[in-house]
Amino acid sequence: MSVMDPGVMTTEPTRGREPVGALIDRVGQQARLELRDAVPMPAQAYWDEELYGQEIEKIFKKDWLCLARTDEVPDAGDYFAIDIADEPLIVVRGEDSQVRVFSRVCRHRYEDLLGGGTPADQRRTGCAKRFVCPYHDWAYRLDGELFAAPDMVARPGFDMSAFNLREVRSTVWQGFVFVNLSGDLAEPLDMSGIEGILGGYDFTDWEVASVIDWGTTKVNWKIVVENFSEAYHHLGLHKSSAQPIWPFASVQMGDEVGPEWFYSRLFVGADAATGEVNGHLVQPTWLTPQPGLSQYELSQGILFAKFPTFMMLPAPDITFWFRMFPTAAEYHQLEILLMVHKSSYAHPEFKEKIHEATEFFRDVQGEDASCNERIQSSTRSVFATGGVLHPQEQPLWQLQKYVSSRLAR
Amino acid sequence: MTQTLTARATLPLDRAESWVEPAVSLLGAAPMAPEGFEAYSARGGYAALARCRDGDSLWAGLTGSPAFQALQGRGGAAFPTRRKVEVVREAAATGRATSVVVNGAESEPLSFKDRYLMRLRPHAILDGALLAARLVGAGRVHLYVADGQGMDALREAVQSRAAHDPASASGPAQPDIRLVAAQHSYVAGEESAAVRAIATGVARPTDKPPRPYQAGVDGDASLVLNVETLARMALCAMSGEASDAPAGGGAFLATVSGSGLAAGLYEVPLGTTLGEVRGRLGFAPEMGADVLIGGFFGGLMPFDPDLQLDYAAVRARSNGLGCGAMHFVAEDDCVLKVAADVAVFFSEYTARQCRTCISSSQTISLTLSRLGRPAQGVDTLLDDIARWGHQLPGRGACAVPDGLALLLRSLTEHYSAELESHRAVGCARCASAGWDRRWQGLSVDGEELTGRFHWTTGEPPEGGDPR
Repeated sequence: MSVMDPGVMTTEPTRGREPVGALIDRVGQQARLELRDAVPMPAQAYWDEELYGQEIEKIFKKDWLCLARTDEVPDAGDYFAIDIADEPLIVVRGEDSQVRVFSRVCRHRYEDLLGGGTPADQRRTGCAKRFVCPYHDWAYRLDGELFAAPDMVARPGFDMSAFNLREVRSTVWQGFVFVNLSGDLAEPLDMSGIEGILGGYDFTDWEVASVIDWGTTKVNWKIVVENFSEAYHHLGLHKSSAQPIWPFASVQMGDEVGPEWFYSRLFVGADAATGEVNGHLVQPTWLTPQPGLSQYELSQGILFAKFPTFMMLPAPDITFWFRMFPTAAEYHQLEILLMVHKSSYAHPEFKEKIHEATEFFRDVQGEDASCNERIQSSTRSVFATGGVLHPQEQPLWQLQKYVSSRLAR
Repeated sequence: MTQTLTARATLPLDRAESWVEPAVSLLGAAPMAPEGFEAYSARGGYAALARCRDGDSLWAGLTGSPAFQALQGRGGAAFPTRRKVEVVREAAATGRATSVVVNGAESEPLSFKDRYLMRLRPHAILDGALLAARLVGAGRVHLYVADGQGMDALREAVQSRAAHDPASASGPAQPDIRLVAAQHSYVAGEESAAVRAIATGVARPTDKPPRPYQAGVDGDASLVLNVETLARMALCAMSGEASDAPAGGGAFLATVSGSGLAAGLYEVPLGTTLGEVRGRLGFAPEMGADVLIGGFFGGLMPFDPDLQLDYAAVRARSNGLGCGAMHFVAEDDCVLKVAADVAVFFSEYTARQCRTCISSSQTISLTLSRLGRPAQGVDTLLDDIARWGHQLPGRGACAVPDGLALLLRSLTEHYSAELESHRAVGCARCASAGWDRRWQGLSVDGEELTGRFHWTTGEPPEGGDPR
C-alpha cells in the first residue's frame, strides 16, 4: 500500500497478478465496507487458478450444493449424473424410492461407472437396474451395495461388503436434492431464512417441465451468480425483455445482508400487469399459478441465491432454477430449469405455453451470456479496476462476504 | 370527550355535525340520516338539471355563483374547479368526446368524509356528476368508488332517480352511468391512476402530460372530480334556486381526530379558525399543541388558534389543507414520531413505479424512524431534511413525493429545534415506535358511524421489516 488514498489507488490500472493471499485479503476488506461504499470483486478473482483451487477445496467441497430435483428421478432406477468439484456423482432413486447420491468412482480401480462404452444418451440420465462398471463389470445395486465383482473369488478373503459405492451426504428440501462433499463434518442444510421469505410457495409439488441446457461456457462462476442476482441490469441489457415485467425501479431489496444468502422482490411493472386486486398488481402468467398464493405473492417474482450457486426465481406459475457449477477457473456449466406446479399440467395449452416461456427465458439468457462472456475476457484487462456498485447490487457485496468468509486464512 | 384508545388502534369516528346553515349544508340537520331521492329533491336537488337543459345555460348560471367561482377541489389538490371544468368544456367545443370521472377512491387514512358522503349523501354526488356531465357534454359518467357501501348507495341513488323521474334518466342527452370498483390503495385516487384503472384495472399513476383532461378514459377529455367537490357543485347550483342562500361551496368537510381519541366529521365554514375548531370539540387545552393537517398531505404545524382554515392561509404556513382532515397530536405524543408514522406509510404505499419516489421515501422514513436514538456524528440531519423537502416535489408520476416534501418542509419550518434535540439526545417516544403499521393510530374508522364494512389500505406489505 502506498501513502495514497486507497480509493484513488484502485482506480489506477494494475499490472500483473497479485499473490492469492493478498487477493483474498482484498476481497475481505471490500466485504467489510458499508453497502453504500461497496465495490466490485477484484477482476483477478474471475480468472486466478490458485484462487479457483481454494474455492473448490473450501467452498464447493465444503458447502451444500443443489444437484437435482427428486422429480428428475421419479422411478426406481432413474438416475442423474453430474460432476462437481472434480467429483463424478450420481443421483439415483432406489427400489425403496429413497433418493441417494453416490460417487461414480468404481471401488475397484476408480473408473467412472458411466464411462467407457456407456452410450452417450445414458451418460447423463437414464434408468438402470444395477450400475455396472464398464471396465471389469463390477455391478452395484441401486442402494450402492456391491452386487457382483467378477471372479474376485480368486482373491482369498475378498469381502464384498467392504466395497459398496461411497454415498455422499445428501438431504432433500422441497424436492431439491442437496449434497455436501464434506460429509458429517458439515452443519445441516439451513433453509429457514429462505423459507421465511417464500410465504405460500412450497416446491414439493412442483416439477421440472423444461430445461434450457446452456452447456459449458467461458465465464467464471461468480460472474454468473452476480448477473443472476442483481436486477439493476434489467434497465440496460434486458430493456425489452425482463425490464417491462420486472422493472428495476420496482425491485425491493431484501433485508438479509449476511454472507450466506440474498433475496429481493421483483414486483411486476404496471405496464405489464394484467390488473390489480386488493392493491396488488397482477403479474402476467403463462400457466395457472400455484394454488394458495396470496395477491401479494401473485404480484411479484422472488429472486434469491443461496451461495455458492443455488439460484432461483420463484414466480406464481413458472419458477426457474439455475443449475450452475464451475468446471474450471474460467468456465462454468449451466442449465436453466423451468418448474411448474403439478396442477398446471391441466392447462389446455400447456405445451405451447411452456415452449413460449422457455423461448422467453432462452432469449433473456442469451442477453446475459453475451455480457458475461465479454466481462470474462475484460477481467484480464489492466483497466478492469476501480469499479463501483449500485445499491441494488447488494448481492455482489454479499457474495464477497461469502467468498472471504470461506477463504479467509 | 370519548375514552382514550390504545396507542396503535384505529380511531373510531363517532359523531358528525354541520357548522353551517342547513340550507347550504351537505350534512344538514340530521347528519346520520341517509338522504333519499325525495328529501334531496325537496331541498332543491336536481332542479338545476331540470331547468337548464343545455350546458351553456347551466354554465352561465353556475359561473354567476360566487361560491362556484371560488370552489376548489376537495380531493386534496385544491385545484380551482371552475378552471378544470372550463378546460374540458373547451375540448368539447372542438368536437372531442368527453367523460366525467366521479372520484370516490378515498385513501387518506385520516379522512372519512368521502365515504360518508357516498354512503349517506349519494344524491348530492349524483346531482353534481350529472351537472358536470351536462357542462362538458359528457357521454359517460364513471362512478369510481373504493368503498362497497358507497358503491351500493350510489347504485341505489341512480336507480331511485330513474324510478322517480324516468324521462330525465333515459333521454337521449343523458349520459351513460357506469360504476367502477376502485382499488383500496393509496394511489388509486390520484386522477391519472383513476383514469388508467377504469380503462385497464391497473390503478397506478401515469406520467403527465397528458393529464386526464387531455387524454382521459378511452382517450376522452375526462373531467375528474372528487365526490365532495361534485356535491358542493350541486349545492352551488341549488343555492342559485334559493333567493339569498349563502355560498354552498364555502364550507369543507373535515375529519377531525386527536391522538388516541375518537374522531368526528364536521362541516366547517372556510375561514373558521383552528382555535374555534378545537374549542367546539371540547378538546382540553393540552390536547393538540401540534396539528397534522390535510390528512397525510399537509404536514405538521404548531397549534395556532388564529389560523384561518382556508387553502391560502394554510399554505402560507408551509402546510396544506388537503382533504380537510385534521389530527391533533396529544401532549404526551411526539410530533416527530407522528412525522415518521406518515413517512413510513408513504414508503409502504407508493405506487412502486418511480425510482426516485421509492428510494427517497425509504430513505426519509428510515431517517425519521431512527430519530429515537441520538445520532451523534450525523451533522447533516437538518440539512438533509431541508434539501429533500426542496428537491422532491415533482419527482414522480403522482404527488406522493410532493406530500413527503411538504411534510419535510413543515418540519424544517416549524420543528428545527425538535429535530436538533432528537439528533443530540434521541427521544424515548420515537424509540418505542415499531415499524409494522406504525401509522395505524393515524387512521380513522367510520364503520361504527356509517355502517359495518371495513376499509383497509390493501393488505399490509408482507415481510415489512423493522430495520
